[in-house]
This record gives sequence, C-alpha cells and structure tokens, in this order.
Amino acid sequence: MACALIVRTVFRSSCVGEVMRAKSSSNLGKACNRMIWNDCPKFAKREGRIWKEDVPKPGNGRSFRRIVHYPEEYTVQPLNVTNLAGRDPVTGRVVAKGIGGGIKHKYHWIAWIREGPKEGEPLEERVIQIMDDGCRTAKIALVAGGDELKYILATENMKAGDIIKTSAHIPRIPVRGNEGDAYPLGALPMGTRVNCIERFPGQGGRYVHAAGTFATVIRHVGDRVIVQMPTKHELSFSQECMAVIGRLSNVMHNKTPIGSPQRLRELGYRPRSGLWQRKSGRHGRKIRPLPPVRVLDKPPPERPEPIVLSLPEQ
Amino acid sequence: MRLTTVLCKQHIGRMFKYHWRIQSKRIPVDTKAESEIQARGIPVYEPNDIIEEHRQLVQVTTAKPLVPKPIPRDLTHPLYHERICHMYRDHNVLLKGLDQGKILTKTVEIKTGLPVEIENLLGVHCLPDQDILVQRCILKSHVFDAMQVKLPKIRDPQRPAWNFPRGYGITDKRRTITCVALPYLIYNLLSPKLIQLCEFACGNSTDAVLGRAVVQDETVFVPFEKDGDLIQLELTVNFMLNSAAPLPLYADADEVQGTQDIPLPDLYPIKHTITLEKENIYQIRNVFPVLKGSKFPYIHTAIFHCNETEVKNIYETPVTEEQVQGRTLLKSFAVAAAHAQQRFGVNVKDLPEPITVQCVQTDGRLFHFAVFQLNTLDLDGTEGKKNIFWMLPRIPLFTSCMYVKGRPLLEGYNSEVFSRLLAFCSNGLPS
Repeated sequence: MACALIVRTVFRSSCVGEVMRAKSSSNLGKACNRMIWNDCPKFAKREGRIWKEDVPKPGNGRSFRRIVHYPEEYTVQPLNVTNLAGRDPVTGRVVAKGIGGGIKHKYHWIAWIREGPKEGEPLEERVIQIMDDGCRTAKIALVAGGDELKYILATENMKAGDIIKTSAHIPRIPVRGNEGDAYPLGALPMGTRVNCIERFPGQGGRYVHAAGTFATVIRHVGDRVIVQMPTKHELSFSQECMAVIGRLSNVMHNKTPIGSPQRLRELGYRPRSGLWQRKSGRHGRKIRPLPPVRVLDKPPPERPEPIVLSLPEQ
Repeated sequence: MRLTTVLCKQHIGRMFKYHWRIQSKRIPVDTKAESEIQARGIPVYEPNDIIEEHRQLVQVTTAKPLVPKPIPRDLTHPLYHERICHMYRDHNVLLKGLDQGKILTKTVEIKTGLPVEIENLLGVHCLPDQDILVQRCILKSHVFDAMQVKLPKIRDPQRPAWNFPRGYGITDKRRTITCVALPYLIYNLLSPKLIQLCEFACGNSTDAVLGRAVVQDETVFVPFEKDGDLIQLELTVNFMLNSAAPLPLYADADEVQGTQDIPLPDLYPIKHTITLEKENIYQIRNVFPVLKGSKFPYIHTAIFHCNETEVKNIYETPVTEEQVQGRTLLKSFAVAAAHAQQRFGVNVKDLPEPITVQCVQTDGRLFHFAVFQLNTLDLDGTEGKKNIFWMLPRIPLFTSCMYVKGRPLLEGYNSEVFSRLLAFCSNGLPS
C-alpha cells in the first residue's frame, strides 16, 4: 500500500532525479517524507510536538477525570460524561497520574445556588428522594418546590418527605435551623455545623462537598463570619454567604476500606506503586501550626486573556 | 578532499521557536490611554473595525433539497406560542403519582376497590378450559414468540461493575401487545388475545361481538385549563372496546354531590404541574379517535400499556407503584374527557350526564383495574363537584414465565386477573 502511494506520487512529480533517489533503499524514507508533505498534507508529521504545546498543570480547580456535557438549562436528567483518564483534552497528554478506567457514571447536576427571599417567610421545598451519585462521595437529594425539580447534597439525617427552608434574610436573633436549610452565615448561631458554603455571595456553594464533612461557625466579627473548615483552617466569609446547615451524608465514607485492588479500579483509579514516598506528601503531612485566618473579602480580579500573536509560516 | 567546510555553527532554530512560543502571548497592560484620549474628545476605534476586510455576502439560490430541512424549534417556528403549555405524554410520569393525578383531574376515591356491581360480575361468564387457554396465551407471548432482539442492558445496583451477558429475546413492548391479547382471545394478541378469549366466553350472546367495536393504538388529545395553566394530554389508547350503549353509572347523583365534601390531597409545597413538560411549540387539538355518528360511540373498556423501557422518570429511577396508578388515572381521564368534549362540545364544563369508563393498565404481568366516572370538566380550584375513581392495587397475572434449563416454565399463575378482565368485558351483556 505504502509502496503504491510512493510510486504514484513519484511518477507524478516532474523531477527525474527524485525518481532515481526513491528507488535506492537508503533514501526511501526521506523521499517518502517529502512526498507525503507535498502531496498529502493531512499526513504531515507533527514535528517536535513535545515542546510545541502547552500542557496544563494539575490543580487550579480543573478536573482531568471527566468532562460533563452540560445542557443550556438546568435539568435533573443525569448528564452524559466523557472520561479523560487524567489527560488534557486538548493535547491528550497525561496531566494527573493514577486516574483511569472504572465504572462510567452519569453526572447529576447539583443546583449549587440556593436562592431565598431577602425578607419575609423562607422558601419551602420538599425532599423527594435520597440517591447515590457515582460521581461524588456524598449522597444527593432530589428536591421539589413549585413546579421545579433540583438536586442538592444530602445531609446526614435528611430523608424523603422532609421540608427544607431557604432564606437570605439575616435577622437580629440567630436562626436555629434544621438540617438541609440554607441561610446566610450571618444568620447562624456560633457552633452551627454547615456545608456547601459560598465563597462570595451569590456564587453558589463551593466549600465542604465531601461525604461526612462539615464546617463550624466559630465567631462573628463585624459583618464577617469566621468558619473552621474540615482542614481546621479558619476562613473569614462575608455574612451574606449562604451555607446549608448540617453534616453531609455518607458519614462512614472515610472509615470504609476500599477492600481490594479491583475495587480501586472500579472507582476509577489506576494501580499504585506501593513504594514508600518520603517527599511526595502522600504518606501524611508534617504537623505545623495553623495559618492565620484567611479573609475572603472580594473575588480575585479576572486575569485578562493574553493576546496571541501569530507569525505566518513561510 | 573536503567538499564542505565546517562552520561550527549552533542550530539555533529551536531556540527561536521556543522564544517565540513564550513571547507570542502578551497580556496587554492597561495604560489608561484610551480613557485619556476619550476625555479629550478624540474618537477611539477598535483596530479590527478598520483593518478587517468587509465582505458583502451574495445570496445564492440553490435547488431545494429532496428532504426538506427540519424547521428550527425556536421563536420563528410557526407553532410557537408565548404561553407555555404543560404537556403530558405517554412517556411522562407524575412525580407524586396518584395524588398529583387526583389534583390535576379533580378526582376523588369514594371507596376502596371497584364498584359492587362490577365485583358481582366476577365469575358470571367463564370459558371451558379458561385457565389452560390463558396460560397458553401467556406462554405464547412471553416464551414462544419468535422475536429475538437485543434487550436492554441489565444492571445490578449491588454489583455495579458486573457486566451481565447481553440478553436476546422478546421486548417488553411486544410482550405486552401479545399478552394483552387475552381479552382478544376475546379479539388476537394479550390485549387483543385476552379480549378475544373474553369474547369467546361471552359468545352465547351475539352482543359480545356484534355490539362492540375495537379501536387500537389511537391517540387522544385533551387540552384544558387548570388554575390559569394550559395543560394538554396527548395519550395513546392501546386497545379500546366501544359499545352501542353507555355503561351504567356507578355513583348516583347523591354520591356525586357528596364528592364536594371530600378534600383533594395536599401537595404543598409542590405545584400540581410538576414533571409535566413545559413547551412553547405546540398545537392545541381536541381529538377523540371514534368519529361522531359512529354506531358504537360509547367507551366500554380501555386498555393501556405501561412498558418499563418507555415510561421513565426524568431522573432515571424506577417508576413507583403510586406513579403507575397516577398514569392509569390520567389516561382514563383523557379518554373520558376527549369523549365528553366530542359529545357535549369543546367548552363543556358541567357534564349533562356523567361518562363511565373501565380501564386496565398492564405491563404484561401486573394488571391495574380501574373504573372512572367523569362528572365535571370544571377543573379549577378544589371546590365543587368532583370526578370519581375506583381501583384495585396491581395484581400479577403470574410470578415468572421464562425458559428454565431449556424448558418453558410458567410459575404462579393467578386466575383472578382473567376473571376480572372477563367481568370488565362482559359488563353490560345479558347474563
């Protein structure tokens, strides 16, 4: 097949010399390359691609496990995903090691923003069902209010039939809420366990999503609320940041052993080396004093898009 | 002899390329020049507006494609309406099941179980070798049917990683069609076959065959207003027996008046239109499949299929018993209401005479028997006269029917189901 291609291209070219070279075995590769480049640019070899392309670094909130195909409007229909196996979808290079395989789960789109009335009676919704979601550790709750359905993260004792409340009002006297209720941090008394905390007001729950975790409201300082995260770090939020009361469901998650290497594969992880890695941080951290309270006062400015200059190739 | 000189030069092409890769991306620094210039009244343009070549596109007419392009479903669609219509179709399921169905159709249950008159019909008619015929019918639809197609994947929630061998066989749709032919043993496949059987059973009276007409796989369209919402039901009736005389009423005028005091279920904080499909592109239609002036204008018994692969919750968890019951209610309402709108006019509210329908919903194994009496089409609010629904819980026709070790096996046959079906079909015949 390849030979046929070469011969055809060779005979089409006007240069006799090339024909001669193509015949000798030593120059065959070179001639082949050149002819393919000229005649079929589709097959052009991507020269030196290793350093030509930008491979992203892991972290910065990007997931290299899967792409979720979100529709334009919110829906409770489980969404299709494309599994990435730790690869960057643009370059196809491995970014996050140790990810790959496993059961393919559909993604349940969680409604992160809990919107409630600024004043007056809180908004009430009913929990329809508590479900498992393969894409996260905590359980999820299907919630209905009005003629809309949505998913939220299920708290520890949430069950079907419960009424959950949402309010954006900050009263003078703190609210004693029930599990699953969403209130601004400023409305909650000290010592309340919360999850799904907004980083900045109106952006949707961002902190504390994992199974069995909770943050604790430590103290109110002016119009800011200081919350202890599951890492024991203390963050200072605006008092208007919404948070959901209660500890997240699937409490036994971190106490449940994976069980077998095969089960690890089912969860979408590739085999580990088992080697003692002193420096990688995999086997625990050094105990250090906690950092000072981190104040989240305003969203970081958006980084401007770089202008990409292009030089047409000659 | 040396042909070339050694230049001792480094190949710096790569260095240039690497340098260009870094330097080609520049983040512009805001010099505030723009605001400064604007402040001095000098107009500022986007560079691309001036540099870019502006091309005029010329409209070219081409031959029309053989298959016309589908009309885009957006604001320009000829059927686009400002007002949202809530659609309920065959694949839809009501979130709160029967309770939600009761609110939507303004229906109450005045007693549990079916009306006494229908219970009394049990066992009045029967076939010689009835159970053997029915069992043969079940085996035919579930085992002996020659269909061999790929069946849906099986998943075990306890062992999510386990891949079951892919099954081939009879689809649930085909099963229901053939199994419901029992009355068609009263006409030909289970709704056709079971019904055929029922007609054999009632064969001593010529009315069973001559006094009935059959409608198969037709769609009814019923639009109505409910508390300011526009709702349209578009539902398929898989099998419908029509008769020359209407069924008797099972609730008299007093009982109908009595429904005013029975409260409807409370769904708070959920609205009754939840999980109905909200659409802007729709056509409001009143359709009842039997033409006006037909010899057999009255609905006698309607049979609906409920296949697992077609009827699904939008959030993909299994359909519950409550939801199946709600589906029966909405389907029987749709049939009765379409009939009423044809008989008494599209805008009829309080029916001059109530309409009774017998309904069966089945997936080929579980049968849901119900009777519906339509008293009013004034569905606003919760006060006033209401419609009436009688029903039984779902009854299994058998426990399992499949090949076991290569042999066809029917287990746990329940003769009650066919007797009930027979009672429904023989209703209105002289005994």
